[in-house]
Amino acid sequence: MTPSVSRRLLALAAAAAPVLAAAAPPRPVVDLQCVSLGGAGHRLECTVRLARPDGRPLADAGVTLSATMPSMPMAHRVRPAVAAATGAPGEYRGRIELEMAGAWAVEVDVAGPVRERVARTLRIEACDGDRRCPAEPVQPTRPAAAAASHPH
Amino acid sequence: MGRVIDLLQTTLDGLLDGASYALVGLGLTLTFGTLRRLNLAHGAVAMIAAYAGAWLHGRGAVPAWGVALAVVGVAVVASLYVEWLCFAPAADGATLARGGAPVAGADAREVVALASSFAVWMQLEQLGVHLLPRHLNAFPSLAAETEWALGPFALRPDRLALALLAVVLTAGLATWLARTRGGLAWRAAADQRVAAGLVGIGVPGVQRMAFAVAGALAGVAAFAVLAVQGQVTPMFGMWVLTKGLVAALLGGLGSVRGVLGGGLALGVVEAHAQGLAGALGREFATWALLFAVLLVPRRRGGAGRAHGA
Amino acid sequence: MGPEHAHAIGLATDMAVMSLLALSAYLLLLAGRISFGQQAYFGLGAYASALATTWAQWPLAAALAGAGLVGAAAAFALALPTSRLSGLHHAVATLAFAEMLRIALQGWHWRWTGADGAPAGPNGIDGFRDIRWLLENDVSDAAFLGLAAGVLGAVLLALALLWRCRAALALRAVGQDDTLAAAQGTPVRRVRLAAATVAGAVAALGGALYAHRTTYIEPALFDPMLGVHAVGYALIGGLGTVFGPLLGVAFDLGLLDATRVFAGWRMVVFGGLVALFLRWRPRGLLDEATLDRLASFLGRRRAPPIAPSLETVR
Repeated sequence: MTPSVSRRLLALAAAAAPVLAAAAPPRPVVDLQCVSLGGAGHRLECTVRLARPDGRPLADAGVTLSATMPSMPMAHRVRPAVAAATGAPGEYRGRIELEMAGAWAVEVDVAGPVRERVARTLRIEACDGDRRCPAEPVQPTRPAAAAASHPH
Repeated sequence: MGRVIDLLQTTLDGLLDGASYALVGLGLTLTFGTLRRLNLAHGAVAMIAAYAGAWLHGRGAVPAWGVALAVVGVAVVASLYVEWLCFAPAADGATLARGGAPVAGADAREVVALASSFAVWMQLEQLGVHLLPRHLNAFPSLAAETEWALGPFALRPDRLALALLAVVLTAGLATWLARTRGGLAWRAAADQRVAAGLVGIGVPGVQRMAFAVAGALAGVAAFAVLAVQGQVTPMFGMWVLTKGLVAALLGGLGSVRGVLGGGLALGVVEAHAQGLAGALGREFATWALLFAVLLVPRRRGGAGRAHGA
Repeated sequence: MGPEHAHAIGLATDMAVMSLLALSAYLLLLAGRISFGQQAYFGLGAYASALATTWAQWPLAAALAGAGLVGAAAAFALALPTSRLSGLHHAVATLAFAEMLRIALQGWHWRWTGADGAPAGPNGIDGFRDIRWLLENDVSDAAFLGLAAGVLGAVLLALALLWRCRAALALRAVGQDDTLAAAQGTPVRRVRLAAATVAGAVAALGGALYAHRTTYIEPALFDPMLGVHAVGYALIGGLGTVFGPLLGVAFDLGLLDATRVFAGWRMVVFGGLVALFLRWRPRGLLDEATLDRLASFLGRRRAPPIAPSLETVR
């Protein structure tokens, strides 16, 4: 393939971009809140709120929760759990079981009526007793822990 | 003038940091010096020892010196475990004689050591994380409350003490290796394994002693560094391995005096890189320096002996 | 599709992707070099393919091909100075390169506004999110598993075909004893460069598949543990055949992880196994000796030449 042909194809693809993007269904807005449940193991209860772009809650969606550990992506695979509708419009809740504490990327997979998949990185800490400890999002603007001069 | 003061202050900070890198690299360079093989589990040994110390500290009512003893003890035990599983001489000869090795030729023993020590690294790290699942764990803190002023420069006495510890341990170890009969036995076992065995030096025992001492050094380094920090995280193992490895390689793997020089150089380069390009620049500079040093063609005077060992 | 079904598909896709990375480490081991930096090409492939499908709006196939080329080019560039380094130095140099790349990606920000008005593009430490080609083109997870398996199959086929020609012999000869190979006229450096380049392309393909499946990537994913695991899989599974690394992956991800028997202790078990294997079975489960025995058991049942004379003696 000569460079000029590939360049033309590239230009064509770039031109088609807005057309392709416009054809895609509108993305729902996903809000994710998770709390660590106390007791043995690291169980996480997550509440997902789905809304259409115009603000109306998205009901009757098939929401599945999963998680993966950023530091070791394909290990520590978490069994996906269905997040059932709680009754509040556009709200779904489910529980997943994690192998250990640390930074986890919790994945929300929406199956229908629109498809979406987002992930939020949260720091999961061990929670004592009967408490429910909210999982804080890992701040993206802070440099990585190992980047500092100190060993933490 | 202020700019010069800033530069000198940065260099001073770099030197102090660099001394701690040399301290964590001592054990690594020692085991390489006696075996010509790199122990990648060094960082994990320090990490699990530190975690044991933090766990004890968390239990309460254990004084700092008790924690220090525990850290050194666990490090020695962990180091001996690494030696038994990964570097024991009997296993080496048997498997390589059978003609099987992941990488054949002169590299074979090196690669086997690298590969099995990283496997133990994974093991020890996971054990540590099970002991203390949290990210931040308290460690007995011996940090200084105030900063000393040395003319226009600021100096923290605890970091100065850490640097002095590094120098003292390096000097002590170098003297021991150079001047005593025990040190002579180690150097003989490192250079000419078979000949040393023939003259009556118990080579496997020397190897085990080397790992025990390296473990103790790792424990002392871990305690000292973390006492200044006051806390330990799961990243500690990787930090020890990274800084120790770069410091040791810069100064020449196997050289005890070299690791001090290498660590100091690394510290200064990092400090200035941070001044120029922030925390990311600092981390990048560590690896870039290591990469550059590895790529520079060196006169491989030691290569012949390494193959014989 | 229930969560159990989703779990199985996700696991199978992970195994396919990880197998590509393990194959990449395996190719270098065959050439006699241990590399702790294959995760760099995995990351490069992930970022390159994500850019291709989001910014340049390429179809996935083109993005995969582009990612493979990027991985090959980077691997070639790194192999030029490092192929002459011996075991330890090569391992550390590849690790240093991978870490430099990861840190550089932490500082790379290139944002643009997507068609839906939301910002898109690599965002430093936060990574590259919203890689939504699969979602926008309504490719189901099961279909993507088919694609990943297809890519893996194609790579295996290509390697199997290469095995038949002298290239493979040259590769193994270089890995076993490069001095002897050089004395026999094998272009050792060229063989090593070729192995490294192919390994880079294979790892990048894995990264590209990974990025599109999870829809987001971040620099923290491509840390040394990933590369170290890849080498571990190749060492455990066996260096005798291309199916060795796959066996290692299946063993860890499939057996150890999925069965939850060693929940939370998987790395302790896996690490212990690698160390034990290196002591007693350094070329892994499917090593050359085992394959020879399998081959003679299955197919070529030639009676050894000495047997008839023994019978006559009796």
